[in-house]
Amino acid sequence: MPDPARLAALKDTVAIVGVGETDYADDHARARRGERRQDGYGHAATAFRRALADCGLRRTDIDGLITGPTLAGERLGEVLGMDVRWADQADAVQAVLKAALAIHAGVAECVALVYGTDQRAAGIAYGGQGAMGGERHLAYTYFAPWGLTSQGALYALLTNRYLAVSGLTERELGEVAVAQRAFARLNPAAVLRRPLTIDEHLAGAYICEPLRRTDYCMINDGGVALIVTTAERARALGRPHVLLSGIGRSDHNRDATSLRPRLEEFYRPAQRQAAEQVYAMAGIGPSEIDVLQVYDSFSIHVPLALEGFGFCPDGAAGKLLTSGDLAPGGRLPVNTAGGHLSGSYMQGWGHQAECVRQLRGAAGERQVPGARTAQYVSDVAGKVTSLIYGRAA
Amino acid sequence: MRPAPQPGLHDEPYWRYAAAGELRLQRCAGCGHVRYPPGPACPECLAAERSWERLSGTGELLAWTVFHRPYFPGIPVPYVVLAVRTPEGPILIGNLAGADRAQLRHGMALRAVYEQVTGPDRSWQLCQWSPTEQSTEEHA
Repeated sequence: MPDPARLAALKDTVAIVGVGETDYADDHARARRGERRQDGYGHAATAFRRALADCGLRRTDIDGLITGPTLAGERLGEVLGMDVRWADQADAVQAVLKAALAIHAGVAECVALVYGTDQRAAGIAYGGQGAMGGERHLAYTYFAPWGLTSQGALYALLTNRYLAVSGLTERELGEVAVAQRAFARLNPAAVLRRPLTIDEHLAGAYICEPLRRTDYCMINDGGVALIVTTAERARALGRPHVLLSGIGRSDHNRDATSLRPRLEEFYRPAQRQAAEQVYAMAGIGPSEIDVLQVYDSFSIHVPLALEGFGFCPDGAAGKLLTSGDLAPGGRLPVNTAGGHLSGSYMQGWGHQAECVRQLRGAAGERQVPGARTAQYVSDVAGKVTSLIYGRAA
Repeated sequence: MRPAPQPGLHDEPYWRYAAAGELRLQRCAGCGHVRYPPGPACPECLAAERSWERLSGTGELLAWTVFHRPYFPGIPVPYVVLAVRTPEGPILIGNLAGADRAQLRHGMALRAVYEQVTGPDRSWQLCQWSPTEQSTEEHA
């Protein structure tokens, strides 16, 4: 079992001091014109350069490197000209978790977390027989003989069941896409910034019913880098930084391909376990979260997180979605940069950068006034992880 | 043309039985748990010994989706994919056979039917699902 005393010793001892992102909207406009200007390593290098400049550390200060899942760590180290003492590969949320554990254990002091993707330019397929992720999640490709592939189709099955069980309506669910588009319109770097009303959303075509085009994430190219170090080093740098106050994780893989945890539990038991751990470690509850970022391959992730993490009772997400609380100016702003649906599909990496920006008070027009705590919730097919960040005093 | 099944080491018997129109899955010799997809060990008790047990071929409709975007040239949209809870335990996937999607209701009783489909270089039998009782509206 997770040891609360050991977790408490990690609380607020690790900081994110630097963030760097590529120019999502500009890069996307180029990609749509058919100009392939950059590969994933190039996007990663841009983001890394910006993250270093953001924190004031030199490249030679970096002694740990975590590479995102789309690039090879060895090659990225070569591209960035870095020799390090500790290295790993991980998705966005596990990268933060691993960096914190490595720094806490003393195997590295300044860890760069670097992601870059050219998924759109390279034509990565998320559906079809060779669907992305099938090597890890058998369900993404196993049912190809029946025409069932893609993470979206599996979440469409979940949504079909969830609407029937919870009473959530397609109109209520549509408020996720509408609210996130409203945030994207306040973010100059967001890719999709045209206005979106609930009626326009509902008039849009289904991809896999009951999920529509605007319930799905977009696919675009870019990079994100985060620089993580000790709280002491962060203080010495003298720049605004955020502290990692809570971590929670629960991975449920039993019966994954037979879809039981997806269709009968909506991954709720895994979310409950992760929630219990992250809130206990941070010493706060959902009512004390100022900004919420949810991994949103699809809109349905948001109501699942709201209920799974206790932001509302089970079955009450629809009411919360229509209240306006999650939109700009609301009580619980969600995916304030536009998320994957409208901002940029950086597979959760951009959500970490947005947590940092909001807690630094540097989020421009979309800034949540006085934000002191930010929570990230990621649930990808039952692999649930949550982080709570706090503004350094 | 349908996409071919993945040639998994443990899947071969499933498709061999399907060719004979039989729905069979692995049943653990140790604890009796019926597992899907086929695999090397029982996820309940870890025993390796198992038999290929014939299922009742019945189930109830747990969830469905309608594909509106084509992902496979051989499967024209719109088409319906069902998730079916079998009384033996596993949830199985199939397409809707012999019925219209307007008839679909959560919890409705379904039965397995086998459909001959053609792939790139051969044909095989695919387990599909059909409502157990024809709805009266259909004949109205």
